[in-house]
Amino acid sequence: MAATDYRSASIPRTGALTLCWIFFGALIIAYSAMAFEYFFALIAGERGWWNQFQGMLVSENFSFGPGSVHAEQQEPYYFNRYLLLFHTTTGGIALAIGWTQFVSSWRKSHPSLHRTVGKIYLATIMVSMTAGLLHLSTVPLRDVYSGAPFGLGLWGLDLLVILTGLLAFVSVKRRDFAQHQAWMAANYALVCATPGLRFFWVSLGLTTDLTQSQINSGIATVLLPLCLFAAMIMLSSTRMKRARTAPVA
Amino acid sequence: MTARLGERFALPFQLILFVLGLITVALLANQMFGSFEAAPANFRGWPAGIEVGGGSGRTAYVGYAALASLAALLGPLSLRALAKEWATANVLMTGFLVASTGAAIAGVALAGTSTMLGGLDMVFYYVGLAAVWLAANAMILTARQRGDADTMFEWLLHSTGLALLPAVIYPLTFVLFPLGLTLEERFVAAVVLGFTGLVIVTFALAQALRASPAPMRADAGPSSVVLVVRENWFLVTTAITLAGAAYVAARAIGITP
Repeated sequence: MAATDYRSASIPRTGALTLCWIFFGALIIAYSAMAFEYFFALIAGERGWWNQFQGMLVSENFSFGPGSVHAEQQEPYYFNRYLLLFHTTTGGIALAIGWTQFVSSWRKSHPSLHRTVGKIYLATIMVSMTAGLLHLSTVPLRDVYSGAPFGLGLWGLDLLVILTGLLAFVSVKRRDFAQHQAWMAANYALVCATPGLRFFWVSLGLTTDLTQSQINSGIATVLLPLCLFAAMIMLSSTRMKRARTAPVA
Repeated sequence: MTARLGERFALPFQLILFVLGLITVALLANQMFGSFEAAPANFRGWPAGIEVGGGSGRTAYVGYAALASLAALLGPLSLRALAKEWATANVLMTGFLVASTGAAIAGVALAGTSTMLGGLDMVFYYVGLAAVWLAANAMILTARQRGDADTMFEWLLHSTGLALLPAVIYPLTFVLFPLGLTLEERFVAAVVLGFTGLVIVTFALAQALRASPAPMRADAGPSSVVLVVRENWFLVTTAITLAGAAYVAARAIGITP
């Protein structure tokens, strides 16, 4: 099988793109911390950083009132609190470290670190998604936040994250780095659906009169395709740049 | 300029896409020519889901269905042609780009003017669909300008996948029946799962094509200025022709835009 070693390829990155990537990384790390803390706060009977931050940005009613996750999901969340603690802490770690794997200069200069972080990333998402699936298996579809379609979407998301993670792992074991990179991009894009969903909660909460539940239900129809398309655009742009900068044989 | 990925795109895949395109056309035509007032139920118990309120809603639906049908047929044909001959592929692909872009915009117009099965969720769906469809088409054009046939093929595959969404979503609504959900819940769930599923399948297909044994290749060099001007001129002409055809078709079935 012809495999392209993308690890050694150096991609010229403009200043604006680097800044965008750093900004994205900072946002992801900030959100990861909130995700990590979420169930510690719930167990302690506190409101949690994310809920407070969202309430500050949009409104108290949006974040804690009728139709909010906080108001509607207290019971199932508390019932599975330790399972979900695993889900959010490991998911938070995966989110925080995942984006660094796509920085080509780091990958090139520290390949062993890339491999180690990659293994930690894969282990954390597997634990996180398994915990998520176990939680979903104990909750009737209609009792999932904003209803059955979102519940099925969550099932799909968790299974797809596991599947794409496994495909990425198999690819790298076969030393097919192009495939590995593609599947990891899809995998991380799917993991980023979680902060992506929060982005839409806040932005649409600020600009419309919709409740958090309505936004959640609506955005669920397009969230995963949007995330996957973002990854696909990133992949294609990288490939096109490589084609342009590749030395002529 | 032909795509190496297209040469690896085996006949069974081409046939599957074409059949899905035909199913899409059949489903959309069924709704387009079914009685708007009689909705639901003009497809073996399938509620059309279109409860179009006013004239603008009808126009948007007819526009959406006509353009989406065209895209569903031209997409698979363009993919096949892109592996063989550039001149034919260019014509088909241009038609596909115009039809799919039009369908994406008409979908947003439809969401804004009508109430349908799925309600607010479907407004999100049509807006999101338009965003990803326009992005996919922009990537096709970018790859074309850069002379990267393989990337062009890949994005044509993704964009064609979007045109075939009705052929996935509608049957999925029936497949979800054993879950004991209401029709509306099943429909929205089918949209959630079908949309994501189709995107991941086309993504996997593109990766499989890239991983196939033949070496990858990108046709280097941007198109010449003359070629770009000529292609854009053709794009405009095609757009005007299609708009005219859609207008005539709408008038023919008694709709005055």
